[in-house]
Amino acid sequence: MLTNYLKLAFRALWRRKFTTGINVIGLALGMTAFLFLMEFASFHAGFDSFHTNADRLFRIVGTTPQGSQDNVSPMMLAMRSQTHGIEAIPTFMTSASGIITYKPDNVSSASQTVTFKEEDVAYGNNDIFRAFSFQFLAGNADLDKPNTMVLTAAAAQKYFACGENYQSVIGKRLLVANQFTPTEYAVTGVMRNIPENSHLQGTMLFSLQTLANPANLGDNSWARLVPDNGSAFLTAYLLLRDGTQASSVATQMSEFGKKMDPSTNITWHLQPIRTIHTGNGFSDPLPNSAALKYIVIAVSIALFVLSLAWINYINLSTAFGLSRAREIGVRKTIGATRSHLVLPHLLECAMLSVAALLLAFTTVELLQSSFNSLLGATLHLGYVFQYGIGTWGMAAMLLGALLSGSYVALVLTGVKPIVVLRGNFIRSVNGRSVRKTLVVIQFAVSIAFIAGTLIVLRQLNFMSHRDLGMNLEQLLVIDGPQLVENKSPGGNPALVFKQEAERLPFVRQITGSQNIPGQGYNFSTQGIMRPSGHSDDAKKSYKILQADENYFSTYQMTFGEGKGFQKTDNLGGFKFRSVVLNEASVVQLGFKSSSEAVGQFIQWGNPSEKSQRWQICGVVKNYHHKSLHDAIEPIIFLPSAATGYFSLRVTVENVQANMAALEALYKKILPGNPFTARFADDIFQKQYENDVRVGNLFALFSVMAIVIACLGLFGLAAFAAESRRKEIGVRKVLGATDASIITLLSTEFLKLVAIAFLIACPVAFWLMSAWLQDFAYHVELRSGFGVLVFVSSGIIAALIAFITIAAQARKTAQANAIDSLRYE
Amino acid sequence: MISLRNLSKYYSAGALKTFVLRNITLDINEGEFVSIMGPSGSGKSTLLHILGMLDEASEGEYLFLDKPVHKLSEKQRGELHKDSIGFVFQSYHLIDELTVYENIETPLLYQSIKKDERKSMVADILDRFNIVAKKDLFPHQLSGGQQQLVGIARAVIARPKVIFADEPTGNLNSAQGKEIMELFTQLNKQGTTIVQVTHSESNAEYGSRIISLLDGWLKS
Repeated sequence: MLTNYLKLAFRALWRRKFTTGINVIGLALGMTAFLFLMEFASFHAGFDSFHTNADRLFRIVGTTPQGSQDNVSPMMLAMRSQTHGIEAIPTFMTSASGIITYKPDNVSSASQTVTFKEEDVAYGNNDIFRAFSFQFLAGNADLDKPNTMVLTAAAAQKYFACGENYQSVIGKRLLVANQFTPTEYAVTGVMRNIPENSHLQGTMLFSLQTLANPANLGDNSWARLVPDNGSAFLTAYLLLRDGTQASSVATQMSEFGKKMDPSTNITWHLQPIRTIHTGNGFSDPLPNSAALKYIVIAVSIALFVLSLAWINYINLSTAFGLSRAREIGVRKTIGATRSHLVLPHLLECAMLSVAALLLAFTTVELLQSSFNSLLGATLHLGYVFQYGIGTWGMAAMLLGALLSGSYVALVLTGVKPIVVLRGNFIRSVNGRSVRKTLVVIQFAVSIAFIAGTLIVLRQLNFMSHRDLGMNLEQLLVIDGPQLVENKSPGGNPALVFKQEAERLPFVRQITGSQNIPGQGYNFSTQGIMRPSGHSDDAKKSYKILQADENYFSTYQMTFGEGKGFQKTDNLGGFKFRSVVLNEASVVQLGFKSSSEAVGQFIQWGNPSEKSQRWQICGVVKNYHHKSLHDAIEPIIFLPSAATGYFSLRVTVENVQANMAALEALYKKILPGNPFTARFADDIFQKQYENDVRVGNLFALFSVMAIVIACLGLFGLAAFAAESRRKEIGVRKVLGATDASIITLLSTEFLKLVAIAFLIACPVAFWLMSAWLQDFAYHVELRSGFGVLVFVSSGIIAALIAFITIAAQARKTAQANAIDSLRYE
Repeated sequence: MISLRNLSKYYSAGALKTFVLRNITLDINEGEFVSIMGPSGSGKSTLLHILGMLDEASEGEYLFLDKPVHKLSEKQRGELHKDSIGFVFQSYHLIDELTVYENIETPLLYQSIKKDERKSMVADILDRFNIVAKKDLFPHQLSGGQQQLVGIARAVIARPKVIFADEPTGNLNSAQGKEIMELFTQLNKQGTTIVQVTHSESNAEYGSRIISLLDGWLKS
């Protein structure tokens, strides 16, 4: 019986190649999108699950009424001896960037030396490897001894070019130069690269124990690793023993904290490691990456696209089921019961689904790398099957197949044989209004996606063309040196480099600053106010940027009032004769205008101390220091011989040769420092990387949605033309033109597109308005542009729909009328 | 075997009732070969469909093998239909996707007959109808007469008590028609009750009794 059914299902599919093709392609498209999105969702949902001990691993997080923080002090960690149930306390400390150098022992020539600037230099203890599941390729971790380190395969290859021979790396030494005393560390183990779905990332880990030696600490007394040090600079985790209640450990910690410092208002929590990425629900008060939002969005879109595809299947199958109604009627007259008929249809649906799934898997495999580069990720199908959410996704897919298959089977097998055998089935066919509704939904989704894409693209365009209030073109940014010999005869070598670079013929202007546009400030602070200001003013926050006197002219910013500061305005010891404000600061300080502000004083901290007063020498017009996501913040510029970054206005010609000249100069004056040069506009655009990805994704899914919708529409139009063959034949005999028949057939469907348009507009408007809220500066939807977007989305959808239908209608219209009449 | 009492069929359109069959009272005994005749629109096809349980009467009683069909549920009717009734259509209504063999086998599948038994039953009937050579062909590869032969083979394979045939020779030429009617006569002699609807006087002659309909009334 089953083989008979299988054979039957296969033949039925094979005979209707056209519908089968549309169905398989539509379903495969939907499933492809579904799989991609589930990869994404599973990737995020599965964060940190690869640790075998994930259930017993927690991050120590403290909350105060002001907020939360995930750092702990050596003093707090001393509670280990007084708390039961703790198996290990993996502890990290990350310092700012550092220069890491490898000098081969036997080769003295400097050319063999390998040096890189590493942004995050991390220290840790050996409990890390007891608690977390990081695997070793060679050697092992021995971080409880001073001057040891482990690194990942990637770092081993970067510094030692060891290929696959990781064993050869063991025992080699790296010199770390950062805020602590430069120290050498010996490699004791090489571990696998850390999986991407780990919230802990990094390539090297140095033994924290090394810093227990005060000689290695330099003048960083805050980082003393002694139990009486209450400064919180460590990130710590707990591996609890089996059966230990996290909440009770947290309570003990809070009590311990109170005992050590009765004035503390910190409450301690143990955050399950798996919720660090996703958050424990949407309003998790503990710090997390809030990835749950992306998971929910991805899963919703995934289910949406998949249901679009199943809708297509339902539409096409019930529409074309008409031609199968006769067969079902006949089968009923020769004794088939409903269950005899439903099963083959379900089998057919299953076969279609399997074919589509295979096609989807193939497509995913083929397009994976393009999708990854679009998304800036390295996803693969493995994720879908690795974690629970993917399994649920697959279950949802099966359920969808079953539901839509059953619906189709029930509709088709519901016909009364007598109706079919009389031959007037067409007029009584079920589900016509259902099909229309489904088409409306599909087109509403498509129109919303098209509108979304247009809005995202327009916003991207808006951002890249907006006048930023400065000129980032032909502006080169070189990272300042980390390693500087203090006792250079010619003064600070970084400043020497600046002077020398300025003399190069292709350098028009150069400035040094402690941070740069597109990246950030020095710090932000409160307590800056006018001497006459209210005490409330002290709570207002200002961004501080230290830069030299050429900053404004190099970036080609314009002064609204006054002028920039002089080199001599920095009086040393964080005292300044004059400072520059931006217009936002002027407003926040309460001046009526920039001209009123210039010449006035502001103060930071204790008002009685005269020396802390700064005179405003100029007000620079507002410029976008950060991306258009952020509103322009009040900035105060302090004069400084800054060497954090050098920004150079260069000529257009010979970029390659000029770079080489700069690098040679840099290496000569600042030996041991890696040379990093970037263009300022690239740095600024990098802030929009995620937005560009959103745009790409939108474009991708709109194409998918519209293709799926059109496949469905094409099928329905074919069906409509087929079922109205006789009517069209009669009309032609009566003298109707081809054009009038195409119009006749198209109007019905275009009406549906019009309804879809009316549904899509408000929904898309609402969703895209929410998206635009992420940008402080954005295109306005309540404007001519907004109207244009929605109208053109509607027109695009209608046009695509019309082409789809007209292609089908034209064929019918041009068919010989007599043939279609005789056929009846 | 079949007994109709005051059976009527009408379609309501608002207050207006359009009658197709009026007050039919009729008995058909086991082993009879009955021909229903009448002009177009006289209601003969509707009568056949009601007899074959494909359609329901609006009023009146219908007893089939002493069971009150008008009171049975759809499922019970289905069972009764499956076991006792075979249908033959003017336009054959073979299933296009199935071969001759499979078309004939299908009713047996629905009666859950075992594979070996099915095989021998189909082989037997192919032999009887002289269509063994055609068993792997699809319907569109056959002539009309051959298709109707398959249609009848399919109708009789499950050994029904009665065959309802709706103008079985309507689409055939006279030679083919004659062959089909002779087959019916033969089946009738072997004990199958046959009720056919026909336009043709000569076909009606094959039967043992003629029932005439006019505008839904029974003329006897």
